[in-house]
Amino acid sequence: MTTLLEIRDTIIKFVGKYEAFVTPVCKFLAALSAILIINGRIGYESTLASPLLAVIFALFSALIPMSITAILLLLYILVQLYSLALEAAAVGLVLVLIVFLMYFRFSPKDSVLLVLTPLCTAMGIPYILPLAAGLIFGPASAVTVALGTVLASFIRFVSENETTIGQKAEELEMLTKFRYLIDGVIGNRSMMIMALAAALAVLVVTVIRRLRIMHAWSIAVAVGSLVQLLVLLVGDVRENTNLSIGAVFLGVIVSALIAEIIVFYLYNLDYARTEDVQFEDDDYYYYVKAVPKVTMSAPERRVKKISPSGGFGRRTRRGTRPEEEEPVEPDFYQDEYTEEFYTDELPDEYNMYDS
Amino acid sequence: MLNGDRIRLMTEMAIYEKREGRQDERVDAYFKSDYLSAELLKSFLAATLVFLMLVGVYCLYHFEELMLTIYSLDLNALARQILTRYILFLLVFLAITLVVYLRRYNHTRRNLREYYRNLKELSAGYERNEEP
Repeated sequence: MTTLLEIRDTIIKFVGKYEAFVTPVCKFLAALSAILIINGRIGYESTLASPLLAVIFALFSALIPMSITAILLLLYILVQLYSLALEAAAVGLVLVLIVFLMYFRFSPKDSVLLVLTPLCTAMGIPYILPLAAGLIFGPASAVTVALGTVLASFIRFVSENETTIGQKAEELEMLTKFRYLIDGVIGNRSMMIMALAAALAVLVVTVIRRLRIMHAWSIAVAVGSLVQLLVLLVGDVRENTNLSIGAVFLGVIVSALIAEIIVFYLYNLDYARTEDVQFEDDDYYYYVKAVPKVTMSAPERRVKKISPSGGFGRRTRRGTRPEEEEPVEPDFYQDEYTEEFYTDELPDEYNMYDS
Repeated sequence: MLNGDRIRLMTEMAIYEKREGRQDERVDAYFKSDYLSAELLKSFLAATLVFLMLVGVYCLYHFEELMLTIYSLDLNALARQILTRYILFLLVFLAITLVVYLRRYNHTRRNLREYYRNLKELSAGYERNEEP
């Protein structure tokens, strides 16, 4: 446990110190994974689906907010669907517009969940998303996670039925194809059940995490995983969705383990970030770098000296005591900022107040 | 002279300005009622558009049946049914909008009040410093 805590400390310190690099790199990886997986599923326009463009897109999205990355990805999905079939793009457009108008309307801060959805789904652990959403964000993320599930299964539906959807069609057949696609979205029972399971899990995790009980976070993860498992199994029995039970079990267990790691790293951690700010008053320009102090201290070590230096055999002179080591006070629970001040007084010729 | 407390305060305020302050100030430019009505209006438009789209999809989906039965349909009842659903949908969406943006507005006000208090404290500190 001590080693784990020390690793955690090191990681947190590292992230705090190199925040300016770590965040873009994470964003880059998330965007890259998303676009590569989307390309693998529905990369119908092969010029657009080239890995080079994917890398360029990911580099670009390292610099922009996550919500814009999510929007760009949605548009990209539409373009790819259009090059397969107009009808697919039309249904996709309706879905995307609903997402835009009803969800981005509230300018959410949890778009990262949408961007990570393709990666988690491809790895067979979409169950991690509701758990993480409940732990990190709030109950409103239930909507995000459910939307992500719906979009992911729409994409899967299209890619599994691409030959049917991609056929050149006459006027009348267009309607049939359209109906077929709509059936793929609305009639998809397993998608509905997965979305329901995810949304419920987010709510349950959020509620339990906020309870004032011991190990609330871990209990939240456990109960959230159970809720997903139960809803999926009951849904499978009632609706005959043909889920592969083994994969679901394995996925939920792996997700719960990953969620536990998240708990370990984020629990009780003030998510304050390193900030570089500049301001001035009448006398100075200030360039301040504020670095949040790590609130967990490494386990304190006290060395109690039993015998004075020189080994066991040596006696102390009568009347004197071996020096006692003063216990070093650990500097934890000072949740303030350490500040470094760089101030430069301007040379006199720039000082207009003095003349 | 450099004053540590003052720098701490200014840093805190600068971080707030950088993170949320600019947006908060934009929200604060409105009265509460104006802010909420503008957001409700936007939500009304969004919800109407979404509803129209859903109706369109529904019609396309049931295109053939609709074409066959269009003359025997009780259009009055159908319109009433659609209208009821529309109003229900609208009410739910507007209620969610109201809750979200009311909370956001109050949060903003609280942040800005804190900010102005800090500002006052800061300028008081400067005045104290100049007196002696």
